[in-house]
This record gives sequence, structure tokens and C-alpha cells, in this order.
Amino acid sequence: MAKKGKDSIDIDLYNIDNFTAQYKRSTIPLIVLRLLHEKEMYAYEIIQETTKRSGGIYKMPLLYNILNKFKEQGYIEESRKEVTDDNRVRVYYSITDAGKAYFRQLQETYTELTEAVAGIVFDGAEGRSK
Amino acid sequence: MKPTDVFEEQVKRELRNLVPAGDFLKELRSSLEEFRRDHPDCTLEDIIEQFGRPEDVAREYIESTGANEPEKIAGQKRLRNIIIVLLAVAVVAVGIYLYDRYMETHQGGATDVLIIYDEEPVDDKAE
Repeated sequence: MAKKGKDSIDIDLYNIDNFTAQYKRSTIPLIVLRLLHEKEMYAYEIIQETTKRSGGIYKMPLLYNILNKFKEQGYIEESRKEVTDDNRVRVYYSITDAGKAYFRQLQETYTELTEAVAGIVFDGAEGRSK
Repeated sequence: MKPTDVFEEQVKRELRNLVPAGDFLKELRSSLEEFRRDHPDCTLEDIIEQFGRPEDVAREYIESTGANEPEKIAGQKRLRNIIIVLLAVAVVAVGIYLYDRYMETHQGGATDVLIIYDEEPVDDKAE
């Protein structure tokens, strides 16, 4: 699938989707740990909160894999279970001390890389075109 | 059929029973139900926009279980080959046993009795 870009050049949407998926794959751990740093949450609550805070731009996929992985790694733990009105079980997760330490490291790395990339992609390009 | 059910069925189909997925499917159903409560008129496209395509959801889960890692695939192939060899040996052994039984039974029934006389019988009439 392709669409016309600003300069009437065909853009492969598959590549854009792929870029989005990869970006999300890298940033989901950061967001999940950040939200759990604030309070305990269940999987769908994390999805909802991300959509709300990103103004609907960041659609988070299913969190089963990442939550399981973090649980195995000891970064989060099941804090409690709640039965809803329609008899579904909500599992709440909270962040551990190891998870907080891992989050701080991720945060630092993310900030460093984002600033470096932004410096190249935006400031650098503008600087050269001037 | 509700779009959430369609999505869940598609994920199940993509999983093709390759890996145990009970807990994963439970979590999927739970998240889909929560999504439907938030968006009662949601379409299949809305669900895909939020959670991704069913094939990607299934693939990511399979990848997360490590079921498609080269060592695991090699291990599974080795186990499969061992089972095939054992089955082949069992089939041959049973075949040989059945053939023996068959020959035993049929040879016993068809055996002729051959009597050999040392002397020629005396013909009474000729005397």
C-alpha cells in the first residue's frame, strides 16, 4: 500500500507501520514501568491511560507478553486480584525496587538517545538547509 | 458475531495450537471485553487499530514463548525423528511377528503326511 507524500512521492505505508511497531516495541517497557511507578494498575488500565495521556496517538497493543516478561525478571509483581461485575478477574501489577532501578536506567538511555536523534533529525537538518 | 469474538477467533486460528496459550487467550478476552465496554459500537477495524492485526498478535505471543527459537525447533525435530524411527521399528517388529504367526498357522494346516515304505507291499492276488 502506498500514499502520496508532501512532494508527491509514493510512500510505502508498510515501512511506516513497521517503523511505528518497532518504536512502540522499544518504548512500551518504559511507559509500562512509568505508569506502574505511579500506582498499581491492571493491563487494560495501562492501555487506557496511555491512550488518554498521548491524546489518542499512542495505541498500546496487548500487554500480556511484556507483563509476563517483567514478572519473570522481577521488575513487577501481582499485587492483587479484583472480580468485576461481569465476573472477570482483573490482575493488578505493581513495580518492585528492581523495576524502579531498571526504569531509571531506561529513562536515562531513552533521554540520551532521543536528544541525540532529535539533534540530527531536526536541528541538524534545519541548520544545514539554512 | 461480535467483532471482539471475530478478532479472538482469528488470533486462535493464527496460533494453530502451536503453543499452549490458555492464560494468553484469557488475558486477550479480558482486554477485548474491557475495550468493548469502553467502545460499545467498535468495529473490527477499531480493534485492529488498538491491538494490532490478529496475525501479529499471535506471532508476537509465539515469539515470546520462544517456541520458534532455532534450538527449540532443532530439539523438536530431533524428538520427532526419534519418534518416527521408534514407530517404524515397532511397525516392522509387529509385521514380522504377524508374518510368523501366519506362516505357523497356515503351514500346520497344509502339511501332507508322507509315508515311506522300506519294502514294496506284497500283492496277494499275484500269488
